[in-house]
Amino acid sequence: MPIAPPQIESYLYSDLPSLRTIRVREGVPWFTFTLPSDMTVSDALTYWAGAATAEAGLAGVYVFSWASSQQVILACSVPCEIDLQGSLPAALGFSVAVLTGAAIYRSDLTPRAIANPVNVDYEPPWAAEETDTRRYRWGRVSSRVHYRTYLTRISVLMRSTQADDLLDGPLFVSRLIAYPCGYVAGLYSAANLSGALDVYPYELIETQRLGSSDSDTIVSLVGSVAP
Amino acid sequence: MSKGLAISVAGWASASLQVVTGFGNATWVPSVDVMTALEASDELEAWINDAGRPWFGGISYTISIREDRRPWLGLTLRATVGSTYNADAELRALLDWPVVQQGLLSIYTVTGIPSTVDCVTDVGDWTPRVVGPGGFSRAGAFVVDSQAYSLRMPSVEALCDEAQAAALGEALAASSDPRTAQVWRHATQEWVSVCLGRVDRSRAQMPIYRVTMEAVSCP
Repeated sequence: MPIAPPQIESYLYSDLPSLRTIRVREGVPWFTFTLPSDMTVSDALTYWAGAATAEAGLAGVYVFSWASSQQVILACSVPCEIDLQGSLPAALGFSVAVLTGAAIYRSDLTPRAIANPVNVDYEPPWAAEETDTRRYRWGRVSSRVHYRTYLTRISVLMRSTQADDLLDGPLFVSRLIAYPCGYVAGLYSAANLSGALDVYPYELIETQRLGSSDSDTIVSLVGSVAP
Repeated sequence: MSKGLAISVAGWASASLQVVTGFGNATWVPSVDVMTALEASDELEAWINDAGRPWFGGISYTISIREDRRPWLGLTLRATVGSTYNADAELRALLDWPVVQQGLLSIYTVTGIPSTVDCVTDVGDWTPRVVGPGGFSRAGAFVVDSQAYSLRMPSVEALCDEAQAAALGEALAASSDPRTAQVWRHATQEWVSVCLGRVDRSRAQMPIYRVTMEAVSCP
């Protein structure tokens, strides 16, 4: 059984008009599909494909996916046109917004919102908190703890060309989900050390070039784990 | 044999365990003194064997710590006569206790208690100061009965692998305010109670984490 490759992807926000809507048509009328809630890129692709397939006005069967070739693939059983609205062409790696004249479209640029890096590593999340430990007369002591958020450091190793493209996009500055190499279904926890980490990036702390020709890059960030 | 530590968590006041036996029934509710899972198990063991219980003299119980639930600690409750144990939702969450267990001689936590960590821990500077003859008293020794009077802060250290570090992080994030903990001390093979302040983690050598805890005693 092949080991799942590491993967990182952004969330697409249903409240953000530039990242939630596609239109599809096989004939004249366009049919519009909008994300009902915040979703990761791969979940959004699955949602849009399911909604388009279920649409009575469209005859085709739609399958949208992320491929190991590092491309988003938008496929239909019949020729169709797909209109990626707002910033979706850049997020999904397409140089044009309206895709026409085929039944299968593959991204021709580096998608800015999803990637398979060389490796992803992160440390067990840690409670970031303020503590106030006091000693009183008669030996009474007390330790108060406040403002606990749940932080971790994530390191992503990529080819430098890929890193430059991704640093140009939203991936490291908005909510992201990171899947380690050998991902096991579920979120990271003490019971599942191979789970995914769902975080809000807090600070991009370092980008480090590696190799004699700077061919690889490590991006390190501190993230707050999504509740 | 590592034992580990148990960190205080809120919610004990609304937890309960009903024990049903052939001698009669009774329900245990943790007292306000209970803050950690180990304090809860100690109090439960004392309560369930108390002379006021209807099964006193007919059934006796023991509670012991399980160390096969890594990265957490677990508990086992054993009875000399089969009983039915009916834990409410709060107790099930706090102690990872089974829902309803009928007519069993022993029951145990399902996966592990989430506010505990089974890792290597030790407490230094804890022993009450003992000096030689003539130091403080004619009897030859002066033993401070409270660690807070000893003028020495205990130092608490732990070594964790990744799962234990993750479990500790989760326990700290869920801990009560104010926060206490019971930490296993290897030197004397005992649990010591501390007020648990700042907790720092560093990588000792992958995948081992060194954890240093600010601690003062709980008199």
